[in-house]
Parts: sequence; structure tokens; C-alpha cells
Amino acid sequence: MANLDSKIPQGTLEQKWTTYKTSQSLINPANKRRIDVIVVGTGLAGASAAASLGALGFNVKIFCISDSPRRAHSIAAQGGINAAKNYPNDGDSVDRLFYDTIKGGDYRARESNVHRLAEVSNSIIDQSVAQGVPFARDYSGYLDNRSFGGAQVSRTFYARGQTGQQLLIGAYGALSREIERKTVELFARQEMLDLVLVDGVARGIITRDVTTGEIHRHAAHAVVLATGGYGNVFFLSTNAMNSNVSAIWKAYKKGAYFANPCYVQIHPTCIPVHGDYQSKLTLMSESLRNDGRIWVPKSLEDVKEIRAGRMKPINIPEEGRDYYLERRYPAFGNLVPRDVASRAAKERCDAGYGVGSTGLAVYLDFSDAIKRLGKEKVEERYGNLFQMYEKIEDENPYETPMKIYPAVHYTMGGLWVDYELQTTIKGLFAIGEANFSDHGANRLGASALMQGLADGYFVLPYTIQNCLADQIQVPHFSTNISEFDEVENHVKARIEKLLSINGKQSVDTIHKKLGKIMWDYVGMARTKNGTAQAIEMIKQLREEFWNDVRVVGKADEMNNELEKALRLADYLELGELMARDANLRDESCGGHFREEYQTDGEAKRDDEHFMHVAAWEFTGENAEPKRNVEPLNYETVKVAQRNYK
Amino acid sequence: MPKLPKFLQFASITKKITLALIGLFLMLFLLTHLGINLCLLRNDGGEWFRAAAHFMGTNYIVKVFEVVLFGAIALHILLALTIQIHNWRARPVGYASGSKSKTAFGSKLMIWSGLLVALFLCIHLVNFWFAKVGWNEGRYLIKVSAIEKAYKVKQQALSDAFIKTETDEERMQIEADFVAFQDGLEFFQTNEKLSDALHGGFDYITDLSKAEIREITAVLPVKYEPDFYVMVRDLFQNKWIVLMYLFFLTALCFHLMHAFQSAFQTLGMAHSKYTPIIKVVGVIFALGVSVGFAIIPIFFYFCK
Amino acid sequence: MNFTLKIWRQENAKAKGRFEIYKITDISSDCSFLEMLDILNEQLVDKIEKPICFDHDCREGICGMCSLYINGRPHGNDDDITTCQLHMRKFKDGQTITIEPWRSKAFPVIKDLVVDRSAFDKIIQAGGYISATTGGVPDGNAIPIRKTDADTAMDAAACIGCGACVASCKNASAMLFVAAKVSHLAHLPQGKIEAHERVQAMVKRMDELGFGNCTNTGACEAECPKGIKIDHIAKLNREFIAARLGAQLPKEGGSVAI
Repeated sequence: MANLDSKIPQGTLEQKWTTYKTSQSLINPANKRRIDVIVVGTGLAGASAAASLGALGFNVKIFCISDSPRRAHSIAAQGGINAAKNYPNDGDSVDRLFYDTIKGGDYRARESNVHRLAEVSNSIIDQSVAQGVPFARDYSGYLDNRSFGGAQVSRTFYARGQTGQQLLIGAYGALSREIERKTVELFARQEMLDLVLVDGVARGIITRDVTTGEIHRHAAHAVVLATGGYGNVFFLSTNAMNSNVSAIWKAYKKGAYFANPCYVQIHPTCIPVHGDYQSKLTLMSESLRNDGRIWVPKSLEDVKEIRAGRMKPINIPEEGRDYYLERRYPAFGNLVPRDVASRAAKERCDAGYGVGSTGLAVYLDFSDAIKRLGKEKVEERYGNLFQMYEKIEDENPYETPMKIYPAVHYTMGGLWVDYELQTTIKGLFAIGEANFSDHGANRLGASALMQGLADGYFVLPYTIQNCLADQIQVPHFSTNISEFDEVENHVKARIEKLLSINGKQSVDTIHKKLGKIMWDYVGMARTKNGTAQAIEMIKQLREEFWNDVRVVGKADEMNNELEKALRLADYLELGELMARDANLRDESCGGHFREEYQTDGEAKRDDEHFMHVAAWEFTGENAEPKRNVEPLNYETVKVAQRNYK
Repeated sequence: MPKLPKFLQFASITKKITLALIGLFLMLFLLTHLGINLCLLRNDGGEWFRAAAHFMGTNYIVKVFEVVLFGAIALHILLALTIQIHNWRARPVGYASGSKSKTAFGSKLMIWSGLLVALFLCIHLVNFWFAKVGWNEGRYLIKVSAIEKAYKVKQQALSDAFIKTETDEERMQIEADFVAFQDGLEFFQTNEKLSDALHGGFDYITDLSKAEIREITAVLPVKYEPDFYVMVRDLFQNKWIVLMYLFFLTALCFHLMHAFQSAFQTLGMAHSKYTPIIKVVGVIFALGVSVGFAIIPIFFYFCK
Repeated sequence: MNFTLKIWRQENAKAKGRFEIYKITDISSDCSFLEMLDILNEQLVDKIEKPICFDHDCREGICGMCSLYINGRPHGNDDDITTCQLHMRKFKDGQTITIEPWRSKAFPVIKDLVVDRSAFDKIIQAGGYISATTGGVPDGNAIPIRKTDADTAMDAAACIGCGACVASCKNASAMLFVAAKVSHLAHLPQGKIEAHERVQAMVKRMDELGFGNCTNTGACEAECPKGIKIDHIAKLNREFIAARLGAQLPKEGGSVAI
């Protein structure tokens, strides 16, 4: 417990960040040039951090798994980014954004971090506008806002349905500028395979060039992980195919604590699953819930007719429809937070009211919005989403309601970091979705972009200086030291091992099995028994993997199967940790819903015993990990049961 | 391709803009050319056409433009080839399945339609322009007024010289010259074509061969011009030549179809309101110009 | 549904490639094109053959990673989509499908259907951004932007950098890609400050990287998954002319071809 010092500055909540900034150590420009920083990942957090650090004068090396930094999965965020600008004059403020985020996170986030996030949120908008992000504007020429789940104000800035993409292009532009100025060096199509510690301090990484299979070493004074979330442990998720846990998992195994692995966000509005060949789930922006109404048929007869294809949803009269979110949560209606909306959909489908051929879907209906606003306005707001839906489902959402179902989307858990975003390994930082810090047990819509950019532009560039101020005398590292040899050999041995198993099952076959276990037992609804079972099943599956996986191809070539196998090996360990965390958190909160802990179908928290962060410590292969605890002290917010009714 | 010296390395867009500007200039030329050509259709025995051709052949400003025009054509071809070779090099390995992407009409054929037009230009120059510069034998015309003028000038010169004579020897010489001159003029009366023209009140003596011109100029240093009207009329009596011209004019049509609108696009002129108009005008232009030109061989083949 | 697939296989960047024929059966019409390839790859792994490498990531049409040239069209026979959004229902049962990588000198093949598109990054690095260092910028609403300008900027900014424009262009020209960025930034007051330097530097870099010239065929516009119009190329030309007439020196010194 002693080493879980979250380093929260003194003072009132409002003063903490200001106090920190005014009293922190800085590094002068000449000395910044002496310090090398590795950034892994080029999403919003990684790109913005690398660009900002490069501009400050650090020597930055940035790594991305794809062919270009612009492809990172931040690009897929559609809806928007929150900020407490209060442009619409609807009563928003930093404090309200802070409060909404804490409440949305079901009182499981660190107050000081969230407040800081809310404080810098406005600067993100300013910065993005200055970079040329084409946010939506109204006819006056001023920025437009829309509302989003979990908030009663309109504070979400958006760029058509491509906000994440546009923000990433902004950060990518800033990064590109630094690459041109040679303050940042870009390494594309490189996958980080391990972390190198020298005397307990993060000093480098081992990467594999995915085009040639070559193993490379890179040394630096500090390593920043911005590698996103681990939703792909479920096999099917809205995450990109290349998104993976390996970087932070390697950090975990080198001593960084992994916090709240069980907090997984299930997004309510995804396109339902079709068949076993499915590789990926597609998210439809939550912003659709602004104007769309969610319903299922009231009568089971209608459900039967619909599933058999004998009846169409438009033929069900108004009184035959159950707008269950509006019924259960009159105050927030269709705009309840994601976890609530997802569980409500699951509840209806479990009760037998689900539609679609599988019975695992509910309707998202725009007919009212089209009546109220006109087709043109709806098209302006959601045109590209409707088009996307039509391409996939072959149905026109202007004419017939969309079918949606919840899917794994975001992981609130991640590496444990202190106020300075440093992990429990000195010199190792985690930013964006890769850390656990700001969303508690559930993330509100349009907050991920905010957090990624806040970390990268406005937090890490300050805090890293405080942490590296004592490093200015440390010379540039050589990679020709035994620590690097050791890790590289380990990496190579692991690759050899995987290639030599020559089993019968493909990587995806095993991954699908893992995904099923995770979805069934560590998914939207969990139980004590189920999670305990999952732990055992995953252990077995891991065994199966290491004995029966088939990885074709060679190590020294582009080999997707090998890449997938390396990642799956880590998922098979992570899955167990998630189940363990879910098993021991005997309460329901946010994205973690334990069936034993509910009142009238609503999540029931146990603040007395679980108002803390569970930070898992690796204790050795096949040894039980240790659960450390960081208590959460709410000094400003009055903790209450979340109520969206 | 060997690397060009620095001052000859132009940005891709610069080359394109130059190509477009020249293209527009050439289109203006085509319009002018068409305007003159259409005079051929007037049933006046070529009067308007010859007048226009005379102006174009003798006006100094036009002569300067002629040089500019040839320069422009050469540069247009050179730039197009440079760009095209660069474009081919940009995709060393092609697609096995070809391309099924929608493209603007004629746009993918520009180099081929362009090369055909260039070939056409060469043939056309051989057919007509070569006669003008004397590399080829064509048919010629002389203005009646020019003969009269030349006659008067010669006569005046002889009488001036006669007045200035001081010795008999000189006088004898002039007289001899005068007799020779008068004898020479006999030719004007005996030659049917010439006497018809001189006495019929025509403006021109037309359809003269090179030999006839030589005979005339031996007597009178009179200016002559190619008789394009006759050359056109004669040329388009040949079915194959008419068909060849029609073929090449189709190529020109394809080239212009894309060229007009494309030139505006390259010059940065794209506008939601005006571009559709430009596109329509482009089609009208391409069709108008090529059909306009095509009428001439057809007309002469069938009607003359 | 059953298909015959004719797929380009190439061991590595230096190897000589060839087409291989594969038969695939029992594919659902709801299956996406990439899922069909996943199934094929699973079958290849079963037979201990090397699966086909192809680029893909988000599988929802926004990352721009997927890049297959299918039966003569980048991203296949449908409009306004990326390869990952193409579904098998768009094909006829029993059809032969030819799958090739993007072909361009500037996009060399790495393996099978994977090409190296780092040339696009290099063009952006030349100046495809607004040089706003973190911090020290005015309030987001300090400079109002006409809605039509913001919308046009957004139209252009929608580019996902997939390279379909280059792949479809008979000249392998990157003009639509460059134009999208130039036009996006030139429509915003913030972007106008560096407009002259930007357009010249980006065009220079584009030329150096071996892309072809634009001949206004419009193939790029027809194949762009984000529906970016060639009007933006006209805007690029306009910006270029303005910059040249403005006789601004390019960014970071150095000389540019006229």
C-alpha cells in the first residue's frame, strides 16, 4: 500500500492543478534536448503528447502499429468531445462537467484528476480550433453544441459524425509538424513487444517491425504508453482489429499496477451481430440517441411475428411499442448513460422482447425526429451514420427503424497512474485509455476524446517535466546493455515458442473461445460464481493455446498470424485478471454489474467496502496477482446513488 | 529520364496550368480558323474566304501571331508528352483487372486524341501551309489590282529611267527593256485564265499553277498567294481524304470534349453554380467546332 | 454464395509477385468482404498455408487502412465506401473476383496486398497542418467562421488518407489527397496565415515522391470513400496560383520549382 502514492497536490479541488503547475519542477530548454522520450501509440493521447513534447524541445520517438499515425482508433469516435465552455448559456461550468463525470463514473474516479480534466477541457477546444479542426458551427459562425448521454446541458462539440477523426487529424498535423522539424522521429508499422527496465526505471522498449519481422531496441529516459484499451479481449468489440493490450500488459508484468481491469463499457448503440464469421462490431454514435427513440414491441406475439419476418416494425402501432428507456427514466429518457442504456436493452432482450433474427436487438427509431425536424435536418445531423448503417444492414434507416444492440466499446480500467500520470514504474507513463484515471467505473459519451487530448496536450507535458527534472544529468542511453539483451532474447524466445507449437487451432478460433467466455461471464452482467468459473476456464484455455495453437509463417516476415498470437497470449492472461477483479468487487458500479447487487434492476454500489481503486500487482507467472487498494476520498462531491429517473 | 537542370524543373501544377492556358489559346485559334473556314460555304466563288485568307496571310500582326501559334502548339505537345511520360512512370506495374472507375468523357484518351490531333496538324500543314511557304506545290492566286499596280510601277519605273537617261546608249537600253516588257504582257492576253480575269472584272486571277506563276513573275514582279479555296475544293474531291479528315476531326472532338472544362478546372475555376454551365459550353464548343470543320470536306465532296 | 478469387501474392517488397486462384464456398451474403478474406485465411491456416496479408484496422470505414483493388475499382464495386464496408451481397454468386494491391510507384508493395503509404504522411509533414503549438491560442469562438466555409472545410477534411484516389487515377496522382488538405485549411481563417507556404511545400513534396499529374479524369472523385469532390483540386490550383503570384518563398527556406 505504501507505494500507491497518488501524489494528489494539497489545497482545495479548484486549486490543486494550479498549485501543482506553479510549484512543479521545470526543465530548461537546453536540458530538454538532452532527454529522450519514447511515446508508444499515435492516437489522440500519444499524438498530442508527442507533438507537445517535441515542441517543448524533448527528443521524442513515437511508435505506431499501423502504416500511419493517422489510423489510430481514436479516429472512430463519432459523436463529439465535451468541454465546459457554456457557449449555449445553459448553465454549464467546470464544476458541472466535473460533477457529471464523477457521477457518470459512478463515484469510482479520482476527484482531483477529474477536476483537472474538466479544467483543461476548454483549452482542448481552443487548441483544436486553432489547428483547423472543422467543428460544426451555426449560421452566426460560432461553435455549435449537441447534447449527449449523462448530461443535462449541451456541451458536446462535434465535427459531423467524425469528431474523433478530425481531432486526431489535428493532433496528427501537430505531430507531423514536429516530425518535419525533426524533434519527433516516427516509427510506423512497429509493434511494441516489451518494456526494458534499467535499475527499475523504464528506459526503453523492444519493437518488432511488422513488415520485416526484425526486432529493434529503442532507449530513452522515459517511456509513455498511449496504446489505448483492451476491449478486443472479447474478440468482438468496436475496437479496431489492431487495438491490443500487449504494451500495457508487458508493463504490468514488469511491475506497473493494473487498475480496475473489470471496468468495461458496453456501448448501447452498436449494429447487432450477424454470424460467427463476424470479425468486428460497428458502433453507431451515441449522438443518435439525441433524436432517435429506443423501443421494443410490447407484446410477445408481435416479437414472434417480427423475428419470423412476417411483420415489419413500422406496422406496429404506437400503443404496441414499449419505449422502455423513456418509461423507466423519464428525466433522462433515451439519454441515460451508456451502462444504464446497455443493461436496459439486455434486460428487454433477456425477457424475450428482442427483435432481429437473433432476438438480440432493439429498435432505434427516427420516424418522430423525421416528422419533427424533416428528413433534411436528420440527414444533416446523422447522414453519414445512416449511410454506414445502410451499407452494413442493407436497410434504409429513414424508412425503417435501426436495429441496435450493446457491444464492448471502451475499457475504463488500465495502468494505475498517479496524479502525474506516472505508473508504479518510475519513468513509465500511461495516458489516454491506457490508464485508468478519469472515468471511474463508467465513461460518459464524448469524454474519451476529452481525456486523451487533455492528457497529451495539457497534463503530461507538465507532469513529465516534474518527473524528469532529475534526469538531465543522465546521458543518452545505449541499447547495447545486458538489460536490452535479456528482454530481446525473451521476446525472441516467445516468438520461437509460438511458431513451434504447430497445433491444430487457429489463433482466431481460440480468441473466439476466449471472447465467448468473457462475454458470457465477464460481460454486461456478472456473478460471483460466473467470474470464478471464468477464471478456471481461461486458465484452461491458456493451456490449450500454448499446446494447440497453430501459427503459420515465419518470424522474419510480415506475419499477421504471429502478431495475433502474440496479442492473444496476453489477452489470455488479462482475461483472467479481469475475471478476478470482477469476482472480488462485490458490488455493482458503472460498467461492472454484478447480478447479486441490484435494486429494481438498477446497479447497487457498496461504498463502504468498495469506494476504492483496485490496483493489481503482478507477482510472477502463474502466481496469484496481488490486489492493492487506493481509497477514493470524495472531499467535494456528495456521493449519492446515481439517479437518472 | 535524365534529370533536367534546375531552371527547367517546373512544379507539376505549373506545367498543367501552362498546358491549360495554351489549350485555351489554341481553342481561340480554332474558333478563328472555323470562322474563316465557314466562309467557304458562301456561294460566292470563294470571295469572302479569299479576302479573309488574304488578310490572314498578309497582316503583320497575324504573322507575329502565326509564330506565337506554332510556338504554343510545340509547347503544348512538349508539355503534354512530359506530363504523360511522368504519369506512366508513376505506375510502373498496372492493374490486371483494368479500371472500371467512372471518369469524365474522353478524359482518359487525352494523350491519344492529342497525338492524333498532332498528326492531323502535320497532314493539314502538308496539305495547305506547305504550299504557302513553298515546300509543296499548291495552287495560287494573284490579285488583279496587284497586276495593275505592278504594271503601273514598272511603267513608271521605266519612264522615270527614260527621263533620267543622258546618253543614247542608255536610251536604247530602256527602249529595249520597254519592248521586252510589252512583249511579255502579250502573255497576259494570250493566256486564257489571265485575260478572262483581266477583262472579266474579277478581283483575282485564281487557280494558278507554280509554272504559271513563274511565267507571270518573270514579266511582272507581282505578289502571289496560295489559292486555298481551290486547294480545298480539289483536295476534298478525294473520298479517302474526306474520310481521313472526318476521322481526325472526331479525335479533335474527343480532345476538346474534355479539354474545355478541364482547362477551367486546372485554372482553379470550379464553382457549384458556374461549373455545370462551363461543362455544357464545353460540349457545345467541342461539337460545334468539330462539326463546323467537318461540314467543309463533306460540302466540297458532295456539292463542288 | 461461392466465389473464385484471383489474388495477388507477393512474398515481400523485393519478390516478384503473381496471381493465385482460390475457391471459396458457402459465404453468407451479409458477410463483409474482409470477413470473406478472414474465412479464406482461416482455411489457408487449416491447410498450413500462409494466409493472405492485407491492411485493415477499424473495419468501420474511417481509419483508411483497408486498401484493396477489387475487380477494377479501389474499394470494390460500390460507391462511398471503404473495402471493409463492402459486402458480399454486392457480388454475383459464382463470380470471379480479382483482388490487387494499390498500384503506384509512390506506394510500393510490402507483401501480398499490403502497400506502403508513408508517402502520404510525408506530404502532410511538408505542411499539411496549421502550426499551432500547444497552448497560447485564442478562445474557440474568438474568430467566427462562416458556416458555409466551415462546412466546406469539413467536406475536405473528411479525407481518411486511404489512397483510393491514387489507386484509381490512371496517372497515380495524389492531387485529390493534397487538395483535400489544402482546401480544408484554406477555407479556415486560421489556415490562411500559412496558406502560401503550405500549398507550395505540399505540392513540391508530392512531386518529389513520384506521384503522377492530375488530368482531371475524375476517377478519384468517383472512388473516394468520403465523396471528396474534385472541386477541391480546383481550389488547390487556385491556392497554388495565388501563392506563386504572391511569390512567397517556401517554408524553411530552400527553393522550389516554379
